[in-house]
Amino acid sequence: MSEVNQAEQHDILKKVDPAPWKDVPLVLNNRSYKWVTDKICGIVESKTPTWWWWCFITALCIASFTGMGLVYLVSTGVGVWGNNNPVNWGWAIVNFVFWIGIGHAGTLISAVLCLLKQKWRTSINRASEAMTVFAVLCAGIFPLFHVGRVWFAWWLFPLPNANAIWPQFRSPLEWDVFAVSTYATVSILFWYMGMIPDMAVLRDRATQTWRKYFYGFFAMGWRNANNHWRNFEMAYLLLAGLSTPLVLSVHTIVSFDFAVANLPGWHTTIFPPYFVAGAIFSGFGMVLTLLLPVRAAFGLRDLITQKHIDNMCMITLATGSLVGYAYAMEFFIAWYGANSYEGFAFINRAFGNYWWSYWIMISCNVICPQLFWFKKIRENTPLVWIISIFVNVGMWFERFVIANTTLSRDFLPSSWGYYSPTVVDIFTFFGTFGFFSVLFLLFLRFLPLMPMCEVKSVMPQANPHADH
Amino acid sequence: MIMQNNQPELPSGKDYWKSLDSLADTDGFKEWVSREFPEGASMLDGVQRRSFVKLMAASFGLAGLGMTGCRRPEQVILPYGKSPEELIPGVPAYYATSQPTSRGFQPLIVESHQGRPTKVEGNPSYLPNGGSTDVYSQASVLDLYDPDRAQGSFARETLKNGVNRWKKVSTDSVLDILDDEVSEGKVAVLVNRSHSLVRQSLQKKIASSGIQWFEHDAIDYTSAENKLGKALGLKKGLRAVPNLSTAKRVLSLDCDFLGNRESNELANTRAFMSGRKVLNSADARKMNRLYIAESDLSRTGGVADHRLRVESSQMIGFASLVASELLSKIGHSDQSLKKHLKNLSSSTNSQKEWASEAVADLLSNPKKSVVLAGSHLPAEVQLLAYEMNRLLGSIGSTINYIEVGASADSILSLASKINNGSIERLFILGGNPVYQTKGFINWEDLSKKLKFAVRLGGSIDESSQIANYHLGQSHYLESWDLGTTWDQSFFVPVQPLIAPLFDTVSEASFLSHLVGEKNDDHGLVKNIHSEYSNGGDFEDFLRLGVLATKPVSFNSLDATKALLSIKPVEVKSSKLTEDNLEVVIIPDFHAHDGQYANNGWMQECPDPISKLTWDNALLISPFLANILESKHPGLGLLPKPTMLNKNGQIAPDAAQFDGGKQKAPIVTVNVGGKSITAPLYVQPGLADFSIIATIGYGRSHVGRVGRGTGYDVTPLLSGESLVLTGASLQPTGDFKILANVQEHWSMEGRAIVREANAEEYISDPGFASHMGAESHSPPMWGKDQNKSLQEKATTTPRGNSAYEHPDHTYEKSDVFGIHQWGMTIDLNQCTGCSACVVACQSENNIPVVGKDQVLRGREMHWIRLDRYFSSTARDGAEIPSDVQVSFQGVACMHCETAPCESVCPVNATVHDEEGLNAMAYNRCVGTRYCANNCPYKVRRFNFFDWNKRKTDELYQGPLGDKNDSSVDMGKNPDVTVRMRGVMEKCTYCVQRIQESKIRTKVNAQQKAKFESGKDGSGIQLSTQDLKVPDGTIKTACQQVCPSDAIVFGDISDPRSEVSKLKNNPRDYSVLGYLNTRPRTTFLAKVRNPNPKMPDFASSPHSAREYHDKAHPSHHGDEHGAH
Repeated sequence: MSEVNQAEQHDILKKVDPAPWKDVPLVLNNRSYKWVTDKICGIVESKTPTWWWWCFITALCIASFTGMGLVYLVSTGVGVWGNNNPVNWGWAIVNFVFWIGIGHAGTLISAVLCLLKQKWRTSINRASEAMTVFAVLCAGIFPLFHVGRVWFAWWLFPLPNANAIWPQFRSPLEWDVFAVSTYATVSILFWYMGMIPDMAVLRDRATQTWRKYFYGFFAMGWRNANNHWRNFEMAYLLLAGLSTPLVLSVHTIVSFDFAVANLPGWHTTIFPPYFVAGAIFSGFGMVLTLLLPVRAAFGLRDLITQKHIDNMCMITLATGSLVGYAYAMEFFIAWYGANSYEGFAFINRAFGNYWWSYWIMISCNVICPQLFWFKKIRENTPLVWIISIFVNVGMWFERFVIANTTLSRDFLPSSWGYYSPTVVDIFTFFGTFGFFSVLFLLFLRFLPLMPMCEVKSVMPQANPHADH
Repeated sequence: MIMQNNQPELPSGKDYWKSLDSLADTDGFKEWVSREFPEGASMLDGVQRRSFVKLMAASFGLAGLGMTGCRRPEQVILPYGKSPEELIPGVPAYYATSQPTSRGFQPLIVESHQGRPTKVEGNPSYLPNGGSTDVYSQASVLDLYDPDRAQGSFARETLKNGVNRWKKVSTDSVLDILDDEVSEGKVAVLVNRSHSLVRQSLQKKIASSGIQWFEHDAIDYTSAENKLGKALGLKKGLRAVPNLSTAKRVLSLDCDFLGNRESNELANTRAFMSGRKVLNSADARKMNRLYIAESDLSRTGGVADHRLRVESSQMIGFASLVASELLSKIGHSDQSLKKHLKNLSSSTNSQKEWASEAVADLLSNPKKSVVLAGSHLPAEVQLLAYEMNRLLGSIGSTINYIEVGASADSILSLASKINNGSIERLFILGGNPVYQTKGFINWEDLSKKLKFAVRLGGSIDESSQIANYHLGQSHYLESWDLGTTWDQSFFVPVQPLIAPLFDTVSEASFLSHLVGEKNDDHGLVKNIHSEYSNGGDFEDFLRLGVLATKPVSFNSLDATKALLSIKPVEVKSSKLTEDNLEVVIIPDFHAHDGQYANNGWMQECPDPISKLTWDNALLISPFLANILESKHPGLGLLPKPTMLNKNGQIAPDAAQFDGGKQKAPIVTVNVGGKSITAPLYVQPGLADFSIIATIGYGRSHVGRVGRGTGYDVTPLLSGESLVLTGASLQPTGDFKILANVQEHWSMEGRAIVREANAEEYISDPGFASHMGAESHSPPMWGKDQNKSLQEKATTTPRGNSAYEHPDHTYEKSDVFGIHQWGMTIDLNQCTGCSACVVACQSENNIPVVGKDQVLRGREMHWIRLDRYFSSTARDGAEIPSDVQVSFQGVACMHCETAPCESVCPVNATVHDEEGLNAMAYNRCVGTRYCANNCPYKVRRFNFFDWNKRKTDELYQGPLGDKNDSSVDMGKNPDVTVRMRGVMEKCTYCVQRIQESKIRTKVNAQQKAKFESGKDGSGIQLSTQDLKVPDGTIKTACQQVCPSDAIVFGDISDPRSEVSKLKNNPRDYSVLGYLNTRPRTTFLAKVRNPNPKMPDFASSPHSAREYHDKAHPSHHGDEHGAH
């Protein structure tokens, strides 16, 4: 290969006329810092929109279903749900895994993407983290209340007691207790810590006394000092490092609830990676479901751009395909393993008494996201939103399929049964969406839904070398 | 310690408490007694009382919202003011007694805790039963505490709207009125059949006082003996009592001799199944063989080696066919008889080969074969069976005919006498004749003609509705009586364990009152005992519970002449078709003849074959179901085959299940102008054109448990045969939801119940270990595979596992258990009688959950009886007609490496040092993970407060009614009553284990004290002294099992029975490949088919199904053309 001299280079470049490489801006329309601050703080500071009140009251009413369902459950017995003898875990555990799965995107976006220096995360990470925290709270309701004697649920914690009885550390449910509580703690910490500089901004802009005290309290004396920023960034990085394994561990451990059991269809080594992929899949589905309306409602198109949507769609596509691969691999191993119980469990999943749930799962989780291969579809926001809802539905059904098809037909045909939920099951689950919405609406109303400082850091103004 | 009751000790009523208030004898209590049951709780319209209680509960609930509700309920325990003799608090006492039934007196030992009978066991002194009982005796103790019992005596008041109300009156006052009425004359007594000698002696006196005597039973177990006696021209009945212990070949003609359709069930089961105990190849060669021709699929049919489906109405023809084959094979000289039988059997020629080979096999075992005929079959069949037995030389060896008294006048003659006015006063004792006979007796008219009627019965029922007074009848655990067992070889006493809980009278008291006898029941029984015992000691009799006697044997008689008199015209019934079906009415498994309709244990104990609870259904064959389906499209009888059915993955369900609930189409059955409507149930194994209907359900006046359950078949009854022909079915378009506890009938080729034919077993005794997934994997115990059972149990080696298991050997651990408990269940011995299910329920305080909860899959039985059908190579979407039945009792297996234990987050289920998988109810928080992870699905969860709440108010939570406290009196105080939210399961009757261990230790200490003269800490006890001797501990299921299928014991002792059985090559673990190492293992089933029979299969169907699935290539080769 011969050397190309300067002059020739110029000619060549002229001839091929390459398009100038330019990153798609993460904030559109050349917005200024002030615009960003005003936009984000304005959401919190403006008069409460009427639609918010309607949504909030509706959500509160829906949330009360969960409250009433749980009161009835605790006062009367687990029998008010549809659980029965072969299917001892019904919707409760399905809902638990579903919500925990949703809680995955937040940490993934804020921690993993942070470590991977994915700048586009900045405008979506706060809301996703909030979603994570609220989803984990919703998730926590189910394993807590599905037990027969909830007033003794504290026995799952290793508290010293006079009888010297400890929890059983071999039980995946016990691991869940630690995994989920750790995850919840770290997620809340991460979420809150990231909010401190923004709280300070809100504090400084506040005109009402209560706001001053409220944001002042949570801003923890943030003065925008250099050493504050240094500590903040280091702490943020450390927490990101700490959260990253949690993204993998929580759903791995949740998958152990199934994988450690010896039932056909549950006892498979593919579960941990497949559950994690599924969790990220469902998490991104939920982020899309939440942020697209928020983007429209608050006019955030300049901050949550098509690039963000594209990226999220592509992650959904990737994880959806991973999940699809896992479904296929499960079947292959069931056949290849030559265990007749295992083989039947999978044939039964697809064609047995719950075949409909399996095919809902396949169409929502494997087929639907394939539409994201097409740019046209990714750019059609309403359609993206609808597909994201399908993803959520599909992932709920995935857990339903796993939990119920296996339990309803396991080893001894004499004990095969069928599970159907009761009204209480349905309303308790439905109510958690209300509970989640209540929290999310409060979040939108009172907390900065984007990390202003981080958004600013990815704007062209933040790059002193931008013009070179 | 078996005790006897001394009458003089019987204290006056108030020493036996009804509630603690009664001790105080307050006015409030007196008022409560008189007002709580004014019209009988069950009889009240329900509305006022229920709504009142609901209001009360609601207000209590509201009160509970304050802090006061957070306190524990106050409970008071009072010590005995006057301690009863021989009673140690906390130590149960046992009394020998018996249960009077229409199938003879069942000898029992009853356990009593502080004066409350809690558990019924068989009396082992009655050797034919060997300490076993049937399911009804087990359940009978619940009736004692039934809150819907007639709790005293009542006078009937008919309201304007025709509804009867019952006003409580004192029993003595009714008896006084009765004296006046008796003196008026024209009196009759209507009773159910009994084997009571007390009744027999009083009956004579009653007859002499001019009172007429009638007997009725819907299911008349004595009908066969009367028919046979009459056919042979005898004045007496001739009762066939099989002696099956020596029988090698049995041919049953529609005779369910191992089930509830015949008498002597327990003795037959015990004797017959002992001939099927196969521990080595010599046993297999000696194994008996059962041929059965039947219409219903009975439990006996389930055990049979060869089963032919023949409609009951065709049985004369079939029996003639068998008899004519027998005559020709033995070269009988009487040509006219031969010809006559050929004539009679002309309609059944298609079954000739089956009959011929069966007869050849009977003949090859002279004097060791027997022919049994169902008691519902007509005299002709009884006669043919008798003659065949005579010709086979069986009489005196495998069957005895004993003379019994002829039956009393029937209910039909009573009805006609009431109609013509010769009877004006009627006493109805026991049974429930009005319910059972309403199909052919118009009681409404009769009751108008009666001037006075008194009903003596356990509860206010249909028969009470025509009576002026209902007298509460004492339960047998509250009464004195004396009777005989069915085989009449023993006298057995009925002695009370508790003074009558309520103001009730026993039948004996009532009858002796009728004849003016002033003797009390105890004295009466004592007198009769002295009459029969040749001066034997009465107390000894009560302690032992049996007294041997000799039945009147019968010198055999040639029946040729009687046989010749069978007229072909009488027996030639028209050919059965779908428009001319037969209805066979049999006793219901749950309700029997209706008497257990209010017994929750019986209602919830699944029918062994159909697996239905809380209902009965009309059983029809798959053949008939297909015809009906094609005639009435959309009938919804058979489900549409699913994809899994079509490609042979699983067999189709036998019924349509909607969300796990069986949806049964309701049909109208018309027979001879009478009709009933009932749900249909497709039962594989039924004769094509038979409809099996059960009596005992659909009762109109029954307690709260039985209300609204099942359909009533009695309108079809004619008072003659229980086999009706000329029936047709017409769908109504309605459906009924049935609570079936087992939705799937096929084993799906899984090696769960492992079976082989005797020939296969002889050539490969370890066939069971060559089946199942573990036969394809490395040995589960790894390098320890060949260690002895004892080593495996005590060192729990982990095979090739990388993890070490704690060493529990005695030297190395201070928590070593000196026993290692284990169990075997011999699948070859199980007949599916289900007595174990109810025995376990009684022993372990297992709650009844009700039909609604059973439908939701929440039944609580700790041991369940799985029933599988298997058939010849089948079309994947068809329900088979000819099936083999396999039963398997499944309870907690006490796995060595229990999957439930490792997943419990709070350590509520743990292994103890003696190998028990223990359940700490107090620690359980109810995650239900253990139940999910149990591959045997034996764990049961308390979804509701079953014990605390009424079953119909479970969903009302704290606002629901509390359960009746009287039921609590029957609970076993040694077993925790579980609250809602906790898991429970079989514990191997840990309370019995502990009791025996304590007793052994106490005995050892006393012996050591006595021998050494030392006391207290000076005594050194060796491990050997503390070992409970083998056979001392019997679990409740084991104790009740008539065929000893269940054996429990110490597997660390190589000489124990259970160790020996576990070392038998037939022993296998269900799902062994999971490496759960269950302590309960099964002995594989061995069938004994005759290779010459047309339906012979070289392997049991289930084994073939297994091999087809495990080695599909072989299957493909054979059936490549498919």
